Amino acid sequence: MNELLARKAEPWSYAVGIAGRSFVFLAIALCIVAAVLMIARKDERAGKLAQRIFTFGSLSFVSAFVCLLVLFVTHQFQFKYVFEHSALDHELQYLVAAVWSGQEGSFLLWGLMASVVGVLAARGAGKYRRWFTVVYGLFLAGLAGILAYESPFQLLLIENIHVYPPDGRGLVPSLLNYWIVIHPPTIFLGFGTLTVLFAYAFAAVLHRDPVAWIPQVRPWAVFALAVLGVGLSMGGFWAYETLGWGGFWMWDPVENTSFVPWCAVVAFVHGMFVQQARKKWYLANVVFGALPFILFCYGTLLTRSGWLGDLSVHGFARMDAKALILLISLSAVSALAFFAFLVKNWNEMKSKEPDLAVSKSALLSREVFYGIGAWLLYAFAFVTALGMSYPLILRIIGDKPEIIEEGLYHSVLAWLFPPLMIAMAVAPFLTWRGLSFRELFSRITNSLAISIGVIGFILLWMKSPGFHAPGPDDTINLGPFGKSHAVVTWILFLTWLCLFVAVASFWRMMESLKRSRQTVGAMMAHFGIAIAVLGLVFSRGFEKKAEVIVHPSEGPTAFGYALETLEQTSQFSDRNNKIPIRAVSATDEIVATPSLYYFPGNDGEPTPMAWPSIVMRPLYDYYFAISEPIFDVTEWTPFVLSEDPIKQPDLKAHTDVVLMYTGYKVEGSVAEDGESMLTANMVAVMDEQTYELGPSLRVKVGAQPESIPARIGDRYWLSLGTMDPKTHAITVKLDYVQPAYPVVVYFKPLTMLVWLGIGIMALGGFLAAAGRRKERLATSHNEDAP
Amino acid sequence: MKAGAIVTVVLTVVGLCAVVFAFVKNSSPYVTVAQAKESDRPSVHLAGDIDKSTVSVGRGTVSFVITDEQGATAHVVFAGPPPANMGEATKVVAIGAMKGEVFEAHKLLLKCPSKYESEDSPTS
Repeated sequence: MNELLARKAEPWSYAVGIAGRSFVFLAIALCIVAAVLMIARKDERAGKLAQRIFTFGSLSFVSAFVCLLVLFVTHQFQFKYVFEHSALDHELQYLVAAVWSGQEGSFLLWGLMASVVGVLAARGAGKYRRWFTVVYGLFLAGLAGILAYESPFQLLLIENIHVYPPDGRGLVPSLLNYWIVIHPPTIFLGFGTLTVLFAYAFAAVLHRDPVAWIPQVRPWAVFALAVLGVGLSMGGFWAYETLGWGGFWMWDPVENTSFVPWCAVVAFVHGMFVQQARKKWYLANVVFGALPFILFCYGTLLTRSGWLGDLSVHGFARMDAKALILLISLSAVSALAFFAFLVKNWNEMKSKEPDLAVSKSALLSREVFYGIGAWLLYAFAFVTALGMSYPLILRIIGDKPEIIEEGLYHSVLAWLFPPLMIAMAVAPFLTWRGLSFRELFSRITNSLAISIGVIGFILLWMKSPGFHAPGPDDTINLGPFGKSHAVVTWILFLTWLCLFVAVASFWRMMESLKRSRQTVGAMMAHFGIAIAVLGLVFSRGFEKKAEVIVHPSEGPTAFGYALETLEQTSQFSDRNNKIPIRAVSATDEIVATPSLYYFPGNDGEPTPMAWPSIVMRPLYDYYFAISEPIFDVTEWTPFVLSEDPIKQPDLKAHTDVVLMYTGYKVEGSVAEDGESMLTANMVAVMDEQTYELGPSLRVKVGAQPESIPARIGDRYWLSLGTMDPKTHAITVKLDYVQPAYPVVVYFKPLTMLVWLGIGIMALGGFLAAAGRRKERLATSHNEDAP
Repeated sequence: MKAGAIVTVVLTVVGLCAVVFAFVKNSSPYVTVAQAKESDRPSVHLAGDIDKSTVSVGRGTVSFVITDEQGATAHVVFAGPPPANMGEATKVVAIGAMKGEVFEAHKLLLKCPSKYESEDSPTS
């Protein structure tokens, strides 16, 4: 302790900490002043001033973030948050990532992203600028208020004495992965952009104009959609590359917190088309614009408050009580104020909408299908939100909390998925005015035919020897509404739905190449999503698993490959240590490189950490998960003295060795000499070779008996466990000389499509966002179908 | 328009009831060791502290002793590789059912003394 106290930190580091704290308070003050000034503004000049103050308020967030970043990069462990999340041996990228690895820092990241996009969006807010700034300023002030209580700039105190430890605790090993560097900033950029949509929607209500905001907010909505989509996918990839997560998605509350708003933004983006083309849905779009943010706040509250407690798989730190109250008020006030003003200004805004009777839509029209799509998307969001809130609801009613498991999400959402996919495939072929069924059918025939044809090819491929198809008895339980279904039928049906959407989107994309860049972007995004979902469904549905012990004497095989481990690449203490596994079949050879290393755990004991290795092929992935080596071959097995091989226990089930217990030797006596050496004479036969062995046991007064094993060839150690003093019956055990690694190999077909699809989706999304921006800069025009 | 609105409302209400019914019927309860022994459900959540000294990795299985909030203990066996963050974990949620004296888990959810609260650490 004295050592810690003797160490003195550089004075400037304290100044940075104080500056960071001050910037948080400055952000509160400036954002409130900007909002108040905007509300009370008398003339254009006051408005300009308020705008400038808002910009400075946002810059304070950026400055606070920079201060924290400096503290992390220069290892200022005298700050509690730095001490708890960083360490000297972390590389630069992990020092940066450590900034957002805790509760405080992730709130600061949210504030940073929200303020940056806020300033950019406020510049183009035009006539909505006044109320946009008010709403945005108050939100940022609230967020800064949370940070004032949940401050990452607190000094490290032990029993009220300030200390400066030489090293920090560091990130937990499972987080030391490149995804922690890029996933949180991306997803929080998306979350931050949701505030722009909310502030716009709120401003549209307060300005009583539900018309002009649409072209202004549209690029932001498409941007939020693309960034959130990419962020969500990154989370999935992270999960896939982490051992034991069993795939890309598992419907955890934290995942759902980002999925629910994403669904809502999809509905909003489509609602805007209807408003532009048909002069309808004005009020619905105002609600659609506000809901993603409100839903995100709800999810954040649910996951950060600790209300879910032990019910989530995430370890949630308890929030500071006052910060929690602020977060609750911020979420509740945002939602309530929005809906209160919406109700108040409802009629006036409604009057801006043209008479509906004039433009009634046919059943097979885009408007109707967009409507169905929006309902289905909100149903998706609602089911998910209900699922994640379910434990809390039961707790409020006073029941014992219960959990909605992954499979239950699937079986319920399975009912919404097919209609949504069909709407997604058909809608792009419809016109706003509507088509007859015959016209529609002639437009989608090609896509239908092609998608069914591709299913035929997939079936052929599934019959080929390279594909490890499921057995005819494998079923998927669809839960309460349906019975069990054969895996092949159900998964192929879902696959066909995805293919139908993919082919239809691609078709429309090619058709619109010359006409409209935005449509190309939108159709490309649809195509990408369909491909990615196809990959998710197919690779999860047709996944196969093989569990083996990789050791020469086990002759392990998986999916027709013989497996062996090669020499590890480094020491077990090295984070980059890999245990290469070579898999050889008649026609193929794979070398997988899963990692395994040990780090000192909380109790100082070496604790294993493993990362899987994924061998990616165009048509399938092999996923190799390794765990810590085992040496035990057999349990302790009793032997009685006998020259007769028939009377000896048979170990053939486990090994290639036959053992016989033929005699014993006892040297010394514990009672007289205080020490005794017991030796069993054993004969081992392995690979037609005979070994004479003498595993022994040293028994000493006041000490644990010490076993001295004997080696059988280069394969096993034979240890003596006990020897009965009267009958001389013994127990022995076999261990491997070489470590044996338990390995699980998964065959996951078409996983590559997930990566490919996400890439295409992102490209399409950004293309569409760029297109929208251009369109907004020029005069807006309505696009119509084919 | 009127008819359309009615259809929408009816569909929404029916859908809502169906979802709630499905959730109520199939959600998996959190139980203590004593409750797990009595329960005849195929899948329950058993939460508790891992006794680190009892963790043993065998042939395709991981086993350990779990202590629930009432201090009762149970032997848990999970068929599969130990999750990556097994070593960091202090608390565990084992999903499965009691088979005799052993709790057979088909899924383990590990809780680490988390530093990055917004990221995930489950396993199946």
